[in-house]
Amino acid sequence: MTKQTKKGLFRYFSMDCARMIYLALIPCFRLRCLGTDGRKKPSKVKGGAIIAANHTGFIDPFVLSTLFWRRRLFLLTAKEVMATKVREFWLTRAGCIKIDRSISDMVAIRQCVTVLKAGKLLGMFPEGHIQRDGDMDSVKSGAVLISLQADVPVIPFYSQKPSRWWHRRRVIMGEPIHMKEICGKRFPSVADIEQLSTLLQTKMEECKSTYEQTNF
Amino acid sequence: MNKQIFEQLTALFEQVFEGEVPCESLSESTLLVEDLGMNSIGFLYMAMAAEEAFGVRFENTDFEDLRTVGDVVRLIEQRQ
Repeated sequence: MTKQTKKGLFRYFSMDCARMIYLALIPCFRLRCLGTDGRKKPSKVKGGAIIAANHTGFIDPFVLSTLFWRRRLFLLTAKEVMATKVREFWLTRAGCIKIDRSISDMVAIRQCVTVLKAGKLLGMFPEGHIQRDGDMDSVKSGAVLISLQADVPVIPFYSQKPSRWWHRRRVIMGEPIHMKEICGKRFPSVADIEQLSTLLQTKMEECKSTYEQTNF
Repeated sequence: MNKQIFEQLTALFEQVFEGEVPCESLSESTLLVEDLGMNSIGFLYMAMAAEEAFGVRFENTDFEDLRTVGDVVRLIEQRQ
């Protein structure tokens, strides 16, 4: 993130180069974005928003980035992924925000809030780990916390590896959830945050059931 | 310990932990994890709310030293 926070013409240069790679990935993934009603939906999101997606493998960040290649998408990435200096160097420049899941990582949260307030997109996997079978695990409160702090909506998202390699990859994108409006308090309580996390989980599960219903 | 910060922090705890934490019995020596049952999200949220209310900044390393309510008050006092 250090490079992205610098001001100047080349502030997002490396990120934009990475977006060119995502552009090239479009024919590989052949993504079809559907709404929770099962109908085709344009993957356009205006302003700052959190994309809360399920995590089935290391391909997911690429799927998200390819779907939103028109926008600068930052990704909340576990510290373990940036294990080496080289990886950290490239991933940070490609828009990854390093988070240490073992501690209360205030620095990462602050970075996320900053990019969201600047009107950028933030992709994250609120389950906090990879769930290879595509099932939904419990959603952690981080996404809701960041959303409340930055006052941006959370968009539930579900995607899975297609059953055949030649099939299109379907992704389900739910309606934006405006956490701050739903809560309506300056300082929501911990119970409120837990309730909102449950709401997010419900919406993500809705996306999952749409994915299963539209199976072809 | 700064009494004013302590009172403001107690009021903040009341809002943030809404009935889950016995705020009337808060004192300087109240332990955050053992007595108030705060987890990592609780710490994060407390820090975010305190940043907004007191205009201070918390760093990751600060959480290692925060054991009691008094520690939080002293940290806010230092940063202000």
